[in-house]
Amino acid sequence: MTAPLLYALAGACLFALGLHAVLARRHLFWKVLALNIMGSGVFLVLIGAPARPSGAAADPVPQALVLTGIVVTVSATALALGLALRVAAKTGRAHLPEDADA
Amino acid sequence: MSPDSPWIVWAVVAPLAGAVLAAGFGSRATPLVLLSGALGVPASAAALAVQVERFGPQRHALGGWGEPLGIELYADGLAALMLLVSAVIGAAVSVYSAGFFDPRLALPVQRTGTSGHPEGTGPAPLRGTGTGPTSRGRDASSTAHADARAGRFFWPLWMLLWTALNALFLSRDIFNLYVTVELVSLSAVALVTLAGTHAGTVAGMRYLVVSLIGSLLFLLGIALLYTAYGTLSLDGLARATAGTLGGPAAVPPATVLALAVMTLGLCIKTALFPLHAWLPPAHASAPPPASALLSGLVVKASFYILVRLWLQVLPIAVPGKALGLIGVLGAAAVLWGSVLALVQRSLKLLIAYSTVAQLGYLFLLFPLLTDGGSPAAGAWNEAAWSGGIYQALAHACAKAAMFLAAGSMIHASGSDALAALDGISHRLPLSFTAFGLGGLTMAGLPPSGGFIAKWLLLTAAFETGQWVWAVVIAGGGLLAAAYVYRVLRHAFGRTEDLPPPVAVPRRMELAALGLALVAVALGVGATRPLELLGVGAGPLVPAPGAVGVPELAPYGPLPPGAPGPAPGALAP
Repeated sequence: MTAPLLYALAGACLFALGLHAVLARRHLFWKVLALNIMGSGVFLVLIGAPARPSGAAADPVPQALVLTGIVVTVSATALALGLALRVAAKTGRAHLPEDADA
Repeated sequence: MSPDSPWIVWAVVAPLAGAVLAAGFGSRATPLVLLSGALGVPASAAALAVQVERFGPQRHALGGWGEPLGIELYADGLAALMLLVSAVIGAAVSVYSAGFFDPRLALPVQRTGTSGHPEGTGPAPLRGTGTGPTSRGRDASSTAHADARAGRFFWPLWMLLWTALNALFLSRDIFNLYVTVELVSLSAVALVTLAGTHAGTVAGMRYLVVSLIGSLLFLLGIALLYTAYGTLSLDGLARATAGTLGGPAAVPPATVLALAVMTLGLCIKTALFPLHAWLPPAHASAPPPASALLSGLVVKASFYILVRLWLQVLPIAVPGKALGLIGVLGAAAVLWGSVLALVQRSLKLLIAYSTVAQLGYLFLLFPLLTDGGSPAAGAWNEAAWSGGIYQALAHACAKAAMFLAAGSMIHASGSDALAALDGISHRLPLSFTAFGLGGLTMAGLPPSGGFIAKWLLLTAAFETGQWVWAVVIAGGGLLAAAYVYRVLRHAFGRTEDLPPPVAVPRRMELAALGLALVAVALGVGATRPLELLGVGAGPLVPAPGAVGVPELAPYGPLPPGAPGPAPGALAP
């Protein structure tokens, strides 16, 4: 198994774990955490997977992408945590109520 | 009009300037923000549309750095039209919001008011200042603080949303699309929660979680595509895949997987049935101007990316069966959304479920585009392409007008319940007319833009021999007529024993009416927008041996001397 493939598979596993948790966990903090793990999985794929000839310098583009992605994720996490606190203050629980209309 | 004027840049800079002003100077800057929003952005968008019409697709490399590493802005007919329609809706919403978030509206003491306010730079004093009943006045004052807070945050958020939307429509690489679609979502979520209500907060939280899942799926697809092709630019990806030897069957599985996860993410964000459950509560509990933006524009943004990816960048990776599958989901959305709209008791939820239904029509574009083959191979059906996009444009204007009108009607009647709308047609004739004209587009009745869109889709269904879709298109129109009629029946209802009306600023009513008239104008004057839509349409790079799309004049590959560093410039 080559290193890029290993990274890609590990990233995919992280993504799947996060996706499972964000759907299965009810507490909002877990959901936010799980979304961050999904993000880390994608970043791992981005950094590790693009193949490069041995000895060549690393491709800077994915690193720039991941930096931007981290900025986006931090903002999204901040908004999500703030909203989760607001939900807890309004409803008394840090859960999303079950769908009434589904 | 010179072909070199950078209107394409102003379309992003003007709303960004508004956002900075609104964030930095608060309500004192509102007149300037209005100026940049209601005049600056529409002017840039209109100028850009004329440029595209006369000189073909416009391209601008920011800072002189083009693809593959720099950020390029690019406008073809599709982008220019989306930009123009957003500008029209944005201008109307801005004018409406200047009335809606006017602090004097919520304060009963000042409602009767003489206009001697110290902040003379604010919007003109309210006209039609009828006094509300005192009981309602007290309710209003209890929410006045929340309203004032909402008004303060609305302008920066809305201007940021507008910036992100315009940047998204003009993006030319997939990572830029990711960043802009994320900016759109984050500001849209914040707008939903502005109402400050229990329902609004919960709906906003759910919207955020769902939308982040969608974005991350999209980002995963980007990572896979970059791994496979080493480029992010739409042109680069199209060039890399179009030449796949052996045609669609030989496309690497990683590319198909990437497209599949991106599609899933975008369908979540566009609320395609059965992933639509988050939309109605979010759109219904936002403040009315935000609802108009969400239903009119935000959901179209992710659809726009999907159209670009499926039809222009990676058409070769789209199997013919996927076109049929996404069409079936669209058809289910049309029927299910309409049925749910029929049983709602609250006005805004009814309109929100109508959005779910009308979004379904957009996805009928995909199966109708070809007669069963891959979109890369054969000629496109021009009616399907125009009809699908026209549905997005017409629905955007009409639905935004309906939400704005609904906001006025709810304000006047004091309740969101359909039953409370009795006799509203006599009390708010302008808003009611706006709502009715918007309803024409929902039902696809002439002379509205929705009629043109649905007519084109019907034509495509018959031309490609897929009459099953025609049944859905016609049935959805009948159902839409039925749910719009439910509102009209109440609005024309009893005229005696009505409580005294609560005044609604005239500018709110006029903004909604103007937007509804634009939706009708899209039906009356469809020729020019439809011609513009053909500029730069078709796959970015035609597949080798494809019949091509002669009527749609495909945009060719970049000239070899295009600006930007050489691909290997950074390699040591």
